Amino acid sequence: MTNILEAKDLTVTFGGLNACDHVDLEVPTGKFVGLIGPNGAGKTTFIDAITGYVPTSAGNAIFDGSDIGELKPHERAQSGLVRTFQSLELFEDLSVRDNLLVAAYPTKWYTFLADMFHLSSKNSEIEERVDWALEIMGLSDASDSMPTDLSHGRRKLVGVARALAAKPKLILLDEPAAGLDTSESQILGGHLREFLNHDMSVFLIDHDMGLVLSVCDYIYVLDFGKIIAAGTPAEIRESSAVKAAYLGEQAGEIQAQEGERMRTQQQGQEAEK
Amino acid sequence: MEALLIALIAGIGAGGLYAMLGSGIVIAFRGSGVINFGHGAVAGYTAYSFDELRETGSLYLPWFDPIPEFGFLKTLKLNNIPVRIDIFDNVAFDNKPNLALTIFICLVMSAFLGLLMHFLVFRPLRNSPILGKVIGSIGVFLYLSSMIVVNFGGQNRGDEGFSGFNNTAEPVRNFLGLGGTIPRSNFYLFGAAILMAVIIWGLYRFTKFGIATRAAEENEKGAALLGYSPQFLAGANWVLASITAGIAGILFLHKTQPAQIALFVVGGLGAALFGNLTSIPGATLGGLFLGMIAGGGVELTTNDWWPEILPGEGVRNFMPLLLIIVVLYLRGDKLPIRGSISIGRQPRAPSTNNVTIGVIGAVGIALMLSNIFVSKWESILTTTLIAIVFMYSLTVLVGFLGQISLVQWSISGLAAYTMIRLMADGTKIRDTDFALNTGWGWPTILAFFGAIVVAVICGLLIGLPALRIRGVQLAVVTIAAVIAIENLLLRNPPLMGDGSVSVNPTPKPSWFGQYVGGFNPDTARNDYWKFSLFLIITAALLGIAVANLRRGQIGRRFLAIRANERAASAAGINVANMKLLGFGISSGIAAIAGCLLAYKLPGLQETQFEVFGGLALLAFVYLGGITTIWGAIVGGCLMAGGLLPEFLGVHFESIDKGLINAVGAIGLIVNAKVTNGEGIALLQTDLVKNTLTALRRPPDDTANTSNDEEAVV
Amino acid sequence: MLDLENRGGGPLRKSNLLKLLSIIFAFALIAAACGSDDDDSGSSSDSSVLGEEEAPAEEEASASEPADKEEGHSDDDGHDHSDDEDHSDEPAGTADDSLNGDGAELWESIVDGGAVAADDSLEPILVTLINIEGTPVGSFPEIREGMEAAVETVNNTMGGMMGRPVELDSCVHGLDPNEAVACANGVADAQPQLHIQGIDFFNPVLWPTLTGAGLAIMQTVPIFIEDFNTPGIISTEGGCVSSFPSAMQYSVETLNADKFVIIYSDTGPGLVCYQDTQERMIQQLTDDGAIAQEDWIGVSDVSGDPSDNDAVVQQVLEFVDGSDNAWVYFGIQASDCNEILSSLSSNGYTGGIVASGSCRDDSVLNNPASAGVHFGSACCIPDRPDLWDPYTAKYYDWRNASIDSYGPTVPKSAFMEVGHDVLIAGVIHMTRFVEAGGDIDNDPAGFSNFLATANNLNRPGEAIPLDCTTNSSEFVSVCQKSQGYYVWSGPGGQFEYGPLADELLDATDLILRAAEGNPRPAAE
Repeated sequence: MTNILEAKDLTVTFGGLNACDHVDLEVPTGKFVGLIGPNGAGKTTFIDAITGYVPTSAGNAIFDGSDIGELKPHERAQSGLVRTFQSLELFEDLSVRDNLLVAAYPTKWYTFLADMFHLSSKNSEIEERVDWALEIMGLSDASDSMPTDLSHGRRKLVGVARALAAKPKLILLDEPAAGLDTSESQILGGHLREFLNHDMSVFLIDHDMGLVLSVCDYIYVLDFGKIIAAGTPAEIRESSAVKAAYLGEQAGEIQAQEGERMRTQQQGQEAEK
Repeated sequence: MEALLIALIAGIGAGGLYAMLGSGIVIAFRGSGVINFGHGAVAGYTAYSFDELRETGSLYLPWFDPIPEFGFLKTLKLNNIPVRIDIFDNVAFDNKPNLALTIFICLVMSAFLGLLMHFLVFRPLRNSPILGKVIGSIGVFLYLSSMIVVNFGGQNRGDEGFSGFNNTAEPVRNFLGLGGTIPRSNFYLFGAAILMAVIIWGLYRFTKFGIATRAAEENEKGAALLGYSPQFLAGANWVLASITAGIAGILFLHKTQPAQIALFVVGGLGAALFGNLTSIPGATLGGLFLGMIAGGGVELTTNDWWPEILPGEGVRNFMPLLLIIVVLYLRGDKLPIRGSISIGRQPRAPSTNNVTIGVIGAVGIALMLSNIFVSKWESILTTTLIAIVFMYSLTVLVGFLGQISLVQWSISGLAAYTMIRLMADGTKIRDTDFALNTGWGWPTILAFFGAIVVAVICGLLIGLPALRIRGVQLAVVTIAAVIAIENLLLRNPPLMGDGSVSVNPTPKPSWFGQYVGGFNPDTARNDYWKFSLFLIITAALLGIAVANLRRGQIGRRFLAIRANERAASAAGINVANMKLLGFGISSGIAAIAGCLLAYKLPGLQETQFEVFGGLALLAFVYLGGITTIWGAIVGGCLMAGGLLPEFLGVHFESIDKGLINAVGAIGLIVNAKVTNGEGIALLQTDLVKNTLTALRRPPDDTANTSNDEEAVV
Repeated sequence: MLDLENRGGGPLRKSNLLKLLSIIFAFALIAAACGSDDDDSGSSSDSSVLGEEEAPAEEEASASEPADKEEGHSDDDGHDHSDDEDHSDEPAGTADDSLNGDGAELWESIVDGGAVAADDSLEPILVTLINIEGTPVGSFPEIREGMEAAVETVNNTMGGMMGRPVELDSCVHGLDPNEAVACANGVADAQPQLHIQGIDFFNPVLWPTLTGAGLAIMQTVPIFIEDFNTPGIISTEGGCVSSFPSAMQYSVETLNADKFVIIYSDTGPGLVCYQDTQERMIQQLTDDGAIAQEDWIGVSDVSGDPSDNDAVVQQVLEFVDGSDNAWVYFGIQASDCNEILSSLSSNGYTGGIVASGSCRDDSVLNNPASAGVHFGSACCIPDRPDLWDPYTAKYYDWRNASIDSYGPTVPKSAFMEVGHDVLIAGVIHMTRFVEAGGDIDNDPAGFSNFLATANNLNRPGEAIPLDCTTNSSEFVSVCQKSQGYYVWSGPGGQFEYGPLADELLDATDLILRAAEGNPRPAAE
């Protein structure tokens, strides 16, 4: 099985601290991989590094067989590595449909001539792709609306739709469910796995454990920039390292105290015998 | 060599001015995140006030009395707004008012100007996108410059200065053993700049106010915790900045004409950028450095061995630009975000779906007007059309792409001059011409495209810094470029021909065997119908092209970049290429406008392509609406010399012409606030739509359909 | 504080009507401010009419008076040297055409004949003006106001132009040459009897239209070389052709400078003026042996740029180092004069300074560095009525009263006087043209020619007449080729006679010699 994305020893340093600390990560082609971790673990930094928005200090990233370290963000996007943003970053001046079209049509500077003479014709394949992206995110009715007219949840869906419209090989979703209400979250969750049926691999970052555990094939857990666990959802569910990371040191202490108390109790009980 | 050193050292005089202006710009920026292009005009107004007080004892408040005095209003005897305050009596040459008191009053005036700027311009615009703030500060510049003309007359002032800052003191001789003389006041100016820097730096370092300002820069809430409202801090910093401008103006008055002081803002901008827009010591150092380079540059460029193709003044004016670009390029990403990231909603840029109808309508109207107009109005029509064509270039670059470029009009000039040079062949074109240009004698169409090519290349070069620099910093670079182009490229006889330093005679253009110049050979009026027709066709075709651009992929990309560069690159857009493309297209259109101007007028002067000309055009296209074709058309009709003012002017009594600019500047600022740059064009569109909607159903506050895909052309 | 309208995002909630109203308001201000004096601003019929209307009588009077004057003419001595003669209060004639030029007596007779109003029933004479106003780089409403004052005086007290009221139609424009061109188109359409060109930075762009329209044209302040060498325009006033050649001659032959520096303005017109009216002239003087080649130099100064003043002065100091009788001349606009003057002083220059008349304004005269400077003047010694020709004194008094009675809204200045005087000259000479049989309504070329071929043309107030027949082929329109030079004693002082005393230096010969020996380059 080939990997659509491989991060090897990826390290990002900010002022002495490693936001990403020698991260090794693989996304097999056609699979759904998730990355979770507590706040500040470095998840978004990881995506920023993969997509070229922050420089790496060590390690490399290989996408679709080639090292993308030298490529600029837009070049990575053009090669099929498309991301969404946690902070949305929609084009507020363009309609929803235009937001998608911008991402869907490839860039060539000389198209300005065709534009000026109104010679460029619509590419039906791309138009259909955009229609599909709208449909799958439930946005077909909002096609001509401005992003400012939509609710926050639907705006997030626009962000995802925009990434889909670009026909990515690997789509990186950065907290797509954050801020969605339950029904929107469900819509999203329901469709996510569908992406795999359209020649895409998916890499998902999210907070919502339930969502991640339910849709991913494989999960990595990040804490303080390091991968502390990796495995199938079932494995992650059981992992004490994960629990400790999520619940924090206190959890370990409570457990220890609990354990202590139980032992004391037991000892007491035994002593009484 | 010694002469060079002396010249370098003597440059600290002008350097002191740049340093003081730069410090003021830094203060204003730190307080409110705005780079004020009008900062020099504040210094100029104060300098004039100082001189006026010393000469006549009167103080002029910075406004005009708008109540017109004609017709029935005169009989109503409305109370006029006070403008002039007579403070001192019996002022004569040998009975000048008390110096300290005069300076105090002037600084109060500058502080007052600062307050006005804060409350009337920058505070209302604080949530506007960057372009709105830039326009606001351009409005300040235009307004104060006009007020200077209206209140103090267009004539020169000179002042012999006072105490150390005068011209009659004994010069410093043989400084550092280098021989020669250096005016004593240069050292005083240097000292004043250093003193000012120290005081202000101390203020920011050690006082609560200063610390609060620095806090507010990073985080406005933080300042609130210290007990200061961010708006109070902004206002106080404006006052402080204006006072420094006033001081600079007064101290430097003896060395120059106050009317020029407004333009020294470019040197001040260079100094401020040198200080990263936040460092007073940096700005001071930068200013002194600039002054020294300028002084040394004079010495170098007046030597015999200096090549003529590099005009001395051009090189000197290019230095600040080069410095600014280098600094920004190297430190571009370390510049304070404030001022480069746009907050606030960008003006909408709807695309046009009814291009054909609109064009047919507009062309029809234009043709009809052309037929019925007498020659004076024909000329006004062609003025309007040329302005419209030029404004398309701003629509593309500033409206669609969101790049604040103030240099396009200079590129028009460059294209015009190039075309003239290409077509010249050493013969006299008209009997009334004085200068003769040599050239290559190219035919019209070839020269036309040659000029476009040159202009596009220049535009691309200027666009390169835009890849690293954004927002207001880019505006500063482009303003410096205006001055550099004018002095380095246009006023350059070896490059552009002998005519380029005086009145450059334009050739007689001939397209497909038809003479299409503006000058009518039969009637000697400037109203040739073939030119008007050519112009209408060109304007229509370009309008269609730009509208199509908006509708197509590139238009979408431009808007995406304007909205969010980061997301644009994530969407696969090569932002750098697109920006260069924008500069290229815009320069091409600007070049066409320049060539059309050369077709119309029998001669061009490089002073037409100075800062004021370009800013006025930007101001009016902004008023019309920077994001649509219709906005460009409205803007062209509105500008001075265009259809609308001329039409209105026929029916209203004459009022001081200088007021037109002042009123235009006010209109600009009002428009920036009220319509957010969408201008009259979209205002009218909205009004029509909302009226229709309101007619169809009762007004509903919460549901407001804004189907912005359509615009009425 | 809630700022409802700027919650980033939704469409603006504020009523669009309010927005439109504010735009309209701003617009109304624009509209109110917008105005060009395109129509009916002439003070012909609106202003109050002084004195009684004596229509038929006045026509006779004005027709007969010049006839009288022509024969038995003035008794008073119109001699230039009248130091002991107090300005005459009695109505005895001070003007003498043979000394002051044709038209002086005509003016005096009209003025002395009592206030007579123009006859509004007659066809008005149209005079047009194009002028630049309101721009930060130059605004000259005083030209227009001076002219308006003159028109008022002509119509109210001088009986118009032979009874016909004079109508002044001004087209004022800003910094855009397109506006100027529109004005020119309008003037060409209006076909005035006389067009006067005010101060305009776009003259060369307008000449093709104005001269092509076959109008009679006079200038107030010529600036460009095109203003001087375009046929069909008459300049009764100065500009660089009047000032500079004579200045060269003055410095070399009168002052005998052993080192001479010419500072010129590095603007378009300044540079061309330097090359064409200074450099060529002094080169001619060099060729004639009056000064050695290495003893003079031209230095350019950037207008308004403070950073080069000191460097420029350094060049001057270096050049004059070691000389006994060094002189510096600058013929630049007044705005720069002050700077250069100050700069020379602050750098310790001790030689002599000659400055052109254009330099002479209050700010310069109040500059301590101006003490001892020789100023050029096209007329007479400035502000010394005690030394003036009585005709000059009388005219100046009359003219100042004329301006005062009009009540200008801008400060008075030399330009206001120029505007006034050029209009008066136009009316006077138009009268003479008509009396000589010319058709002012249908023969503008004739009027133009009348002026161009005058060899004894009076310039109002000037004691010395203009001779337009000796204009060189290179400067066809400049009739004023003489200048006087007077020494300023310092702030608070007055002008004194210099080496020339009260004589004017006539550079006609030098100009003609230069046209031969150092002609303007044909093609470059």
